[in-house]
Amino acid sequence: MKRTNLKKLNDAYADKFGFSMPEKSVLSFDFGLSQKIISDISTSKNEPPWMREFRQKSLQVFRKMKLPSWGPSLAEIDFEQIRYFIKDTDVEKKTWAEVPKEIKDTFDRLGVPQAEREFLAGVKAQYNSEVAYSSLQAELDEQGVIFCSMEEALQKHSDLFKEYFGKLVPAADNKFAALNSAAWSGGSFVYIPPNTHVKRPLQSYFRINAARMGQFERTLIIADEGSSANYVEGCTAPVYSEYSLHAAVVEVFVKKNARFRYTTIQNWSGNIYNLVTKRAKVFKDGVMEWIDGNLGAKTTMKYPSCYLAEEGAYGEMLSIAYAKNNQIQDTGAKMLHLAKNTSSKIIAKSVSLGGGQSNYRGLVYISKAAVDSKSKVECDALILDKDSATCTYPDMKVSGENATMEHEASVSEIEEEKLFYLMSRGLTKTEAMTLLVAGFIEPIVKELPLEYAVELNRLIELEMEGSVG
Amino acid sequence: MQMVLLEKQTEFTLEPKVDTFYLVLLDKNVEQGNIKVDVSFKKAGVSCQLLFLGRLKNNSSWQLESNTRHFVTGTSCLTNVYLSQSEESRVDYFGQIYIDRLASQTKSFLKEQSLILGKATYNRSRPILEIFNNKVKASHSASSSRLSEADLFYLMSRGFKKVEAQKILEEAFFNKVLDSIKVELARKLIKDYLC
Repeated sequence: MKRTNLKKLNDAYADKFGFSMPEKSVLSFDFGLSQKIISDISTSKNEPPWMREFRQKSLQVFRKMKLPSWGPSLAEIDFEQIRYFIKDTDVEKKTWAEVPKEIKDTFDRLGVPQAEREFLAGVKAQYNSEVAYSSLQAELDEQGVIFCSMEEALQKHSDLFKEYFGKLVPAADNKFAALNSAAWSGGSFVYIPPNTHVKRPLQSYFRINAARMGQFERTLIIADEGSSANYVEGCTAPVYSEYSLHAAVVEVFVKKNARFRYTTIQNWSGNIYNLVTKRAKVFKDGVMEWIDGNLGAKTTMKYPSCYLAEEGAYGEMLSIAYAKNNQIQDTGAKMLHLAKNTSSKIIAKSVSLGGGQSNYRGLVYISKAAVDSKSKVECDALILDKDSATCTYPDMKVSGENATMEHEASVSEIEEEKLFYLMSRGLTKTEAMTLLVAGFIEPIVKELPLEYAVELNRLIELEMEGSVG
Repeated sequence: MQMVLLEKQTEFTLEPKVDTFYLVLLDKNVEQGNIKVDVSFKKAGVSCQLLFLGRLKNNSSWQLESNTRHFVTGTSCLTNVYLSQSEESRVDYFGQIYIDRLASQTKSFLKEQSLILGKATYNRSRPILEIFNNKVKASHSASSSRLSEADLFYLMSRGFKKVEAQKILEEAFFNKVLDSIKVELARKLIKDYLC
């Protein structure tokens, strides 16, 4: 990529998402991880004994577990050089007027209040370690929908919280799940009552505003029987020379006949390690859809999964990975078929340019019990220049009787013939390539909320300007 | 294109200098077997086909691995793995395509198909792509499925017993790939061996 265009791209990110505000925290702990810091997090949140114990046990698990022996290198991360908790407001605010000026200005520049007015049923805005602002439409509140911070849920809906928290992603699942379990702060709690349909999206915005900071939000979602909802999360951070760490855990329970869609647009700045564990358990005839856009971060490792636990359950994953400027996007999905007549679909598309590397890593497991189950996986990758790379690591295990499994993957550059045709119609090479890349990812982009789809197309235009010549 | 039958060993390390068709026939009398084939392309312009064929009998278990690695320009490879699986048979297949940064104008494809005939079978498939050059075409596909109920029903409605109908459909499954063998005698011998 040309240096001038790379600068233009970085400037564009810095202008829209990469700005930073002065740090004005009301509570911040020292760098490093210790029993005392974990205990202080619990104290600051006034947590019950069971949660204090859970955190301390998780810290022990974290200490014992090793970094993954596969995938991108994480050797740079020094867990003692990270701040695990920064609190910027004393209490969660319910109107924008109450939110501290620096935080409000940040979310204003990201367009959150405007989106809330125009498109959304509810908003959570997390700034560093805690949720700074939250809202929910009154009629949803009356219907019994709960959309609040995890801290509020732990205090006000403790039975529901305890019944589901950590049941799908135990602390020992992986090193970063253990770290999150020990140091979690912020994130959303969503409960949709039976037969309730939330038509407009519920949205969370996650913002890191400090260097060498760890954001460990935890999201817990329960879509009760026959309900439906759509949850969207967006992530950004300032551009710093030092790295920060984002290690979230998301647990989603999709009950009988419920339908849930979880959309993520990750556009962290290029100094963030994004290491996330996302999992859904789908009950009888339930439908879970993950839509995952990975555009930013230095290194991403994320493989959302569906445990298709009861008959007729369906899981779907649509993902886009966009690896540029030496980024590594190591993403994928896992579908575990554990009951009969379950089905799943994974469609993953990736674009690599400017020395970026995108990897698809996925698992489809069809157990003996999953008779008559079906799964289909499609991975398509585009490589736009000689400095970039793409890898595909699928693993498919089929034991279920009468099961059908299909997998296809392809890697190619942009076809000369198509490029030639568009250029013969008067488009420049850059315009033609931009159009072809947009067409390549279109099946997934059309599933995104409008403002994200527009933003993604704009981003691609900007980046393609630098990729030709 | 010359044809080479890979036999009497479990591991093969190959560096083709001319266009070659490598054939691996899984021994149908073996209960437990493993075969690993590494093909490294170090001579520009060479083209290869690698074909694994096997009818896995009841309770048999196979571990198969193919690694095709392209280091120079203008090479191509087509890897096909065609297996039918009877009762309680198990197969674990690992297939890698690696294309080096220097290996532009490479074409490499991998296709694995398993036809499930019996109950309690296990099929694991790991087709890997590692691509470090943009001037290439590479793909893999893997599928595992049972005989079509509609096809079986049709043949049985024409008077075939279920076992006969299954055999016809199994032959048809292998014929899809056997047609790529241009030497008629070789094709016939392989067919006789399989069916």
